[in-house]
Amino acid sequence: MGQIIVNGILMGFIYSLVAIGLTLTWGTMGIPNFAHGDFLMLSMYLAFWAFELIGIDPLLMLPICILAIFILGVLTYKGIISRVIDGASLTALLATFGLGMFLKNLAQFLWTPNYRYINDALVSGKIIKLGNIVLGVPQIVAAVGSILLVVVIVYFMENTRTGKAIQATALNRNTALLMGINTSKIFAITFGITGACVGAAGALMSSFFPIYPTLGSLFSTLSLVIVALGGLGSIKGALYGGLIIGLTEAIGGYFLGTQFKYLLVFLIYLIVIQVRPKGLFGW
Amino acid sequence: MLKVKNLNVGYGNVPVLFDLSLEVKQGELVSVVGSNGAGKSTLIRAISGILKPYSGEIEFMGERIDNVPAYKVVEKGIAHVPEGRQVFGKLSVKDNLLLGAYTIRDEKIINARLNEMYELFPRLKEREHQKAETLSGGEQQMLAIARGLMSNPKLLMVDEVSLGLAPVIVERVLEVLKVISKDVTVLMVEQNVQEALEIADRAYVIQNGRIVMEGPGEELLESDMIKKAYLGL
Repeated sequence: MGQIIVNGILMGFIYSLVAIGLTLTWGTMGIPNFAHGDFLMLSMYLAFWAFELIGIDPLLMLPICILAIFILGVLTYKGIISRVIDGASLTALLATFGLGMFLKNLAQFLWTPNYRYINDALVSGKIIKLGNIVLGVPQIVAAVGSILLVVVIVYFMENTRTGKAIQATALNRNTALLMGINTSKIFAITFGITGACVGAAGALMSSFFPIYPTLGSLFSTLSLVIVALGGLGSIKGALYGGLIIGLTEAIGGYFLGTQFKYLLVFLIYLIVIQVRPKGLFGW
Repeated sequence: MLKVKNLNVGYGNVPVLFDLSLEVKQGELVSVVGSNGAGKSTLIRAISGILKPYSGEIEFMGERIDNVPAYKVVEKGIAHVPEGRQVFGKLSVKDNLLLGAYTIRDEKIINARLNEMYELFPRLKEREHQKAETLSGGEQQMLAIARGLMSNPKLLMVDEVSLGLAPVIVERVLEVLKVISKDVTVLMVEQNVQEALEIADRAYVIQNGRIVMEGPGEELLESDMIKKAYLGL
């Protein structure tokens, strides 16, 4: 049981990082990015091909993946979202959905639907034993990396001029404009940070998670659930939401069998939003 | 300082202001009064760049600003205190003030401004670390004004300060504006015609998107038209 809980917590931190990315755009701009999981998929493929073709370890790819998906996020905002954001409220949402479908199919077209693995990365296959609990080094590295990045993001949001401007824009876009904040630029940065989060998560996960074109669907759905569970736009909510979902998934998998683990995840979600419709830490 | 010439502006296809012209001179306190829906807020939204005019010119310090994006208008020296206060409720009083100085990069200047605001509004200093949403209506209005002043504007535009405030508080807020207007030019938009005309150097009356009267505040207060239409005398 201890083993299950530890596994759940380790995975939970990665979910938190992915969900924090989503909660930022959702909370700031009111747009749930349905291509969020597909950005994660692209980051994992980037790490995979860098390893496969030129032998760069996924850990070394971490900054490159962060930067690449940050740029992808900014381009997504500038090229797609900014053009539809003032239109009907569902348009931007559907645009991200369309982008997600496009990326899934593009990945399938370019790289086949086959599952890929990075088997001999720096951290691959290593384990640490604590009593009778076995910890995978790739998972520990990914969890610690996620925690560090979450700390960086929280610090950025609370202590920098741009972080405050993002918060102000999230709270009241028109008034933010009156403060002299270029809200369109803030949106682009927010989309970039969203991308950076999954860029990092992708590089960290690529050494122990199978890589395939449609993995984004699961992560998009899970992070939407985590964000709704934790409370829209709340970083703290995404952090705790990620841990809850990670734990639930591990415990559910143990008791119900891995093929049914998401049953419990979505059940918990449905129960929580009955009691707290705005999520655990919602405004 | 500010010249608005033949301004036509509205929301989408619905025009609100028609060929409106007005002027604010350095050092003045100018009130624009009129009833609900006359187009007062629309006017200052157009000046601060949130609404783009269909036609006409807006000139500030000799420079056309009608095509300048809203976030850059602040840098030109115009601060807009929006209707309904619009403080950032989940952020602290201090953070609200600092956001007001977003266009200023120099920490020293920002801190000096902050201290000036705390002197002008000691209440805000006391509540520095409280979330803005926990302040009373009057305090939030003071915060919104102080936040506008943080950018060190040449022109402060204030939209409907009296909205939703008790009469005693309204009087206090207006007194503060009168004090502020010694250093900063003020353009004020008000439904509360009596008070707005009393403190104004000059005033305009808007009806259905057009200016129907203008002149010194006291003069307008004496006019039959104002007495009948707005003061119920």
